[in-house]
Amino acid sequence: MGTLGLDLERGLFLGIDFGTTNSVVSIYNFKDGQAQTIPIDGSNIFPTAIQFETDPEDENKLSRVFGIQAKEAAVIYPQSTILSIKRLLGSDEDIVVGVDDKEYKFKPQQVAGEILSYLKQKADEYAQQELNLNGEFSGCVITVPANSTDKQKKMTKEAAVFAGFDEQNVYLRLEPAAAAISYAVNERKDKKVLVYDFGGGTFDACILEIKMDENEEPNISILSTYGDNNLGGNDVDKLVADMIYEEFKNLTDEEIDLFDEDADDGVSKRQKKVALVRLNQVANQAKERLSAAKSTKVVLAPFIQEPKIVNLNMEITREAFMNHKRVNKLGDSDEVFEKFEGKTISDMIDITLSCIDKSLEAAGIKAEDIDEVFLVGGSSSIPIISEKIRQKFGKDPFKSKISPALSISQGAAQYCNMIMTPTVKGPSIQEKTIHPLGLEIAGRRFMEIVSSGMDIPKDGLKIEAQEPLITNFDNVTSMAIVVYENTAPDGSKEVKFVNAEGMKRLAGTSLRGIPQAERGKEKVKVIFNVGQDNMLKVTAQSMSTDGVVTELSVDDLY
Amino acid sequence: MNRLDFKDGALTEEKFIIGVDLGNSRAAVAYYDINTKKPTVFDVSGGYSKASVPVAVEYIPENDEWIFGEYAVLNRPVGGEVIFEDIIENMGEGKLYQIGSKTVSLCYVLSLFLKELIGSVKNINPKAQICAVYVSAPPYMTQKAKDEIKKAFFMAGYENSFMGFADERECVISQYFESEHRQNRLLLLDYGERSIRGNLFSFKEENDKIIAECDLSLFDKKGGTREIYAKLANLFESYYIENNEKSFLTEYEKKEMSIFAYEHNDLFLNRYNKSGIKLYYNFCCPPFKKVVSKAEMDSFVKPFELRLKRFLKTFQNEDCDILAFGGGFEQLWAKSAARETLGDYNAVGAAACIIACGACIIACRELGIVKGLKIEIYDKQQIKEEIGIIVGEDKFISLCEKNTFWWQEQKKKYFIIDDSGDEDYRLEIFKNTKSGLVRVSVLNLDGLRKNGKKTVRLAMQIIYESCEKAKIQIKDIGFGEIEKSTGFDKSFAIP
Repeated sequence: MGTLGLDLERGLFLGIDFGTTNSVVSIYNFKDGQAQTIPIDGSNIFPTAIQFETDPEDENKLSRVFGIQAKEAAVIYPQSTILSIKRLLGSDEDIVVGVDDKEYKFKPQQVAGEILSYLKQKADEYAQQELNLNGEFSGCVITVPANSTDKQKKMTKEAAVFAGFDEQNVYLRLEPAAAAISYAVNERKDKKVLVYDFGGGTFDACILEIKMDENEEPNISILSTYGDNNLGGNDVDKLVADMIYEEFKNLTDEEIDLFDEDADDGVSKRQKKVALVRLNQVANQAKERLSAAKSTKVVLAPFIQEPKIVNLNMEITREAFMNHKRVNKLGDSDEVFEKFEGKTISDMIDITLSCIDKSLEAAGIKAEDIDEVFLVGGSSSIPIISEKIRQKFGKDPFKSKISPALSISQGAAQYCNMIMTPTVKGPSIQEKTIHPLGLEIAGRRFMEIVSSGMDIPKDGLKIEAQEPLITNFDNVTSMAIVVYENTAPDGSKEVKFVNAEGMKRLAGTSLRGIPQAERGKEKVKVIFNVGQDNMLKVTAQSMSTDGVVTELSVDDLY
Repeated sequence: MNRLDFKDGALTEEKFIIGVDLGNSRAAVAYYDINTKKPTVFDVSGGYSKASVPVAVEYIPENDEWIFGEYAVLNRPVGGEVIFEDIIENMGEGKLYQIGSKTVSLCYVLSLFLKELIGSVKNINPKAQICAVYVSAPPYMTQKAKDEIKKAFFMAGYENSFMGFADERECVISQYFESEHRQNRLLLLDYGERSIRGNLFSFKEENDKIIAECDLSLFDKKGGTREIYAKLANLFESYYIENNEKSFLTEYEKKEMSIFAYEHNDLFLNRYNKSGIKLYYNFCCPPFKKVVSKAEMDSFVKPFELRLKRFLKTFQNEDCDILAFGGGFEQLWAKSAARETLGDYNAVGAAACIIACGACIIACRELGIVKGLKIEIYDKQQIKEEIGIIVGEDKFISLCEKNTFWWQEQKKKYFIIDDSGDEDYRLEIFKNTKSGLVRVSVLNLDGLRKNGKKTVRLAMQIIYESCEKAKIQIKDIGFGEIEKSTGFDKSFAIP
């Protein structure tokens, strides 16, 4: 009898860069050990957009349109199209969608899940039909901004589960780290690299160290990250939109307010919605063209049809764009507008440079220690970014070998392979804690429990506070547990306070049910547990025999 | 920095050896990655995340500015700028253009494009030095075209690094030989812009080189992707006209429609689902939606699908590996048609990339960076001996282009009879062989009028019926208003 030839069935590993504006999906092709981007509907870049419409076969059901079709539909059907869902992940508010005079409500993670589900399905088809890779997706890395909150991460994971991924095998990893991996997997020299990740909606700076191990394989460590979750290419688009809107205001003597649906200016709500979507799309196109040309023309003829025809036909020069200071709110919240009012594109890029400074500080290194600066993210092609980097570091930045827009997703697919097959020889990544984490204690002091740069084992990093918390008053039965992240550590041993710059309050709760006793007698043990996705769980336990235990995720805000 | 720097074999992260796939519609660049030790394609699209970029150059007179690639195509609808496309196809003609107050050659325009294209290597490494460049060329590219492209590389500043041209089939085969699993027979299917071509090769090793002999060669001259895109553009336009009840399009609308077609080709040809697709004409006001059903899409693709399947059927029973490349095979319907006809073919690499990677490998091999045998292509379908006539004292004028394929149309050439016409006209036909000019035929041009010296103009053209059978067509085309054509029009077989 012959021996049955058997081989281990390999699953498929996916990397998804779930972006605010665009998403990219890559698969780890174990045949050649490379990550490969999957074209969705014929394009590597998939607009993160969904449109709902009445199912033609059942008017009580909704059907969905995704990607470029949905993005384009937004002009005609703004009320039934959702763009930039990522910016809503982290919010508890329902999203209201209007389809044929009916209203539907969705949770943000549900909408994100619908989009991820479509990406999964398309990736599955492509893997089987085009790459001849058969098998289930047994692992998936979805990237999240470095500065995202645990709540955003949690909702992203819920969206992935909604999309049909197995919860146990969905891994959330940081966008800049994934981008760095796409770059680092083929590196063969020790280096310190800064990843400048300027996406559609967020900015992240990430410093990593690449060291060759004894097998001459790169070992990658993330030294620090710092970012801004409300700064991206979309905000640069708004500068162009602002210029166009100024022209519109001049043409209409400021009689029409497109951002006030209820204004009595004779323009219907629908016209206003359509005009705003067109304005944003044209602004984005103009910005892209200004990356290559000294000037571009913007033609929206007509822009408004009733009560009078308004034609926009203007030329925008690169110089005017570079010098333009934001004037209009353009539908932004007060907080966001305050951040960008009167600011030029140069000011915006300066914000990213200050994030870099904080990241360098947290890593404990100087600008001159950085060997290479690496640009990623769809918005990093804006020429002024390279100029500013050159000025700051005295060297030209690198861009991705593949494409700044694809590197996060390809790195995520590589990342997934590293997670799923840790014993296989090849590049490896050591997950580390990013920032110091700790508790607020008496006198608004910060008690550091988890330091930055600590290795996170596969089953998480579990650290108990060196000293238990004690009650401050007699007979108290509850104790506040407030968790802070020090996003700008300076490395000194000095006492830190939670109201200092760079301290971020993550969560808080009360440990109730502490037995009544004299001041200082009752003690509470606090344990921090950091997962490989840098999500934190805090357990607080009264140390008395009949003491209570409470556990909080840091998104359970106090 | 030039290619001689590799004599000591010292390749560093800053020294780049690149292969360029310089097609008529798109171009791609691959470089040799010192770490992975493989040719690697990189994004030259400037943010559009494609491995290739349109070979298009735009001149904006107002700013005296040149724009390249995707931006040039997409900028089209917003101004009266000058756009250069089909640049490679028009090489070798010495074309000049008047733009504003200056005259520029197409060669100069290409040099600007190359500077931008190859300059994007700096995105990978800002300290990149281009040390060696190999360029792919279709096998039928004329020597004049090659000379002009070479000149463009020189003008772009790559005179020291330019190594030469490689037949694009040699590039693909070179890349194929990099894989571990290979057969002795390989079918190359190229679904290009102008035609579909199939070449079946068998390989044998001989004196430190691999002879790739083309056993079977087929082509479909009218089956290229350009025709698909042109028909699709017409379809998109017809929807627009129908919706807006228009009888003609304004200049603005024409430009917007051309960009709309460019942006939606892939969507139409690469997306099939049960409900078809929706086209949003957002550039007009009011914007409108056109739903295109799956049946309508199928019916559009059907003729092209049948044509492709008919073409592929010839190769159905060949026992060989198959490499399908060219833009056409990036379309889903074409991939499906190929699979249905040929089974699961071995599609190695993305369409635009395999040629660039192969060109890079050839450069590395010649520089001794990688090992491997030189590939020498022997193709019976290519014209190896020129056929021509002698003019004046002893000047040989070829009537066909060496290395072109027999199925390609040879250019007509025009002559004036420099003879008093006292005797019957005889015309000697020569072949330019390795051993020199050999007379192969003497044609009797009885019936051609005798009007005296320099008053009769003749158009001559070689027409091949197969790689072994050719004829020459000679036609009296008159001399303007003074001497009208007599209608003399004869074909003579060439032995």
